[in-house]
Amino acid sequence: MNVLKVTISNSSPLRPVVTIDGKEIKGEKTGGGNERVYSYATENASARVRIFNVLEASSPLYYLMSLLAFVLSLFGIFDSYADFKCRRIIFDATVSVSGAAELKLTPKRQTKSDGEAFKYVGTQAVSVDRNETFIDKPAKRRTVFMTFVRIILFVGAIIGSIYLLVERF
Amino acid sequence: MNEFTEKNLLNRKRAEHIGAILSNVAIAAVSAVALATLASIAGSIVSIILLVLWLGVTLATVGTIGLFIDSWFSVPGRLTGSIEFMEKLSAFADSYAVTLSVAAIVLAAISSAALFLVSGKDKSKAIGRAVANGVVLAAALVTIIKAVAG
Repeated sequence: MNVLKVTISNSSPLRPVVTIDGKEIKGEKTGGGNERVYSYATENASARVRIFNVLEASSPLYYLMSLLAFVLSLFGIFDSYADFKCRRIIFDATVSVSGAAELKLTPKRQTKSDGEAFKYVGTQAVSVDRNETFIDKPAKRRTVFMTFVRIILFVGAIIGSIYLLVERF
Repeated sequence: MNEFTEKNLLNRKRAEHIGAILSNVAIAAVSAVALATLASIAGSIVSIILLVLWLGVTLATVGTIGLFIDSWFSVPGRLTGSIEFMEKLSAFADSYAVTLSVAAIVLAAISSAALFLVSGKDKSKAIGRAVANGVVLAAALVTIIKAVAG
């Protein structure tokens, strides 16, 4: 049985998901909580490691979901949406696994520009297909648009509530 | 075995988002009931303490303080009015307490179910919310039992 250990240091606040050969792997915190280790045992000689995040605003359904969240959260008061930066992370690599293999990943400092998501070091051969972080522009556009719409709706709801209160009393 | 894709993660994020909102609303509903009840109790207690203080000062000065402060003898009337207002506030809170508590229980249950169903390997978010929802459930149940018994 071959074992692959993927270590991600300085965990990203974007909390990406790690999958190996398509399976979601649970990470174990180590190094005082600064590192997460994902272990995977396989019979194969290689394993495909994918690390990615998604944004709700990536889908066109976001308009509908955002309005639903706005209504459920009583005009956005109790909403907790936080993906305003709209940054995506995608790391896709095939790692040779013969015996015990290790892949160490360190997230690169996120600046305004796009670039590589991780700095990586492997004990065995690593073939990287994608390693990028970028601002998802359509998602950003949708987020800005819906934020604007929600502000207008919120102001409308406040004015409507005041009008109803004044009418009633 | 099905591959875990972006689509799975997107659905999970949506469910987590809605679950968190429902949990927040449930916490707010229970907090509103608790605050209204506490405010009415605290308000009544403060009014009674002020009334006792007023009585003490009046007795100590044998009522002569009324010569220096014109509105001194109208204070008890105001404090009694304040206690009546607090009683009205308490009755108003009681009339909505059961409705809000039932709503909070339903929302907390849906929230916990949604978060656990989609949580995948990392259950830290779901567990955190489940604890908060548990407190909400307990508080809402106490409110309902109190209303039914009273």
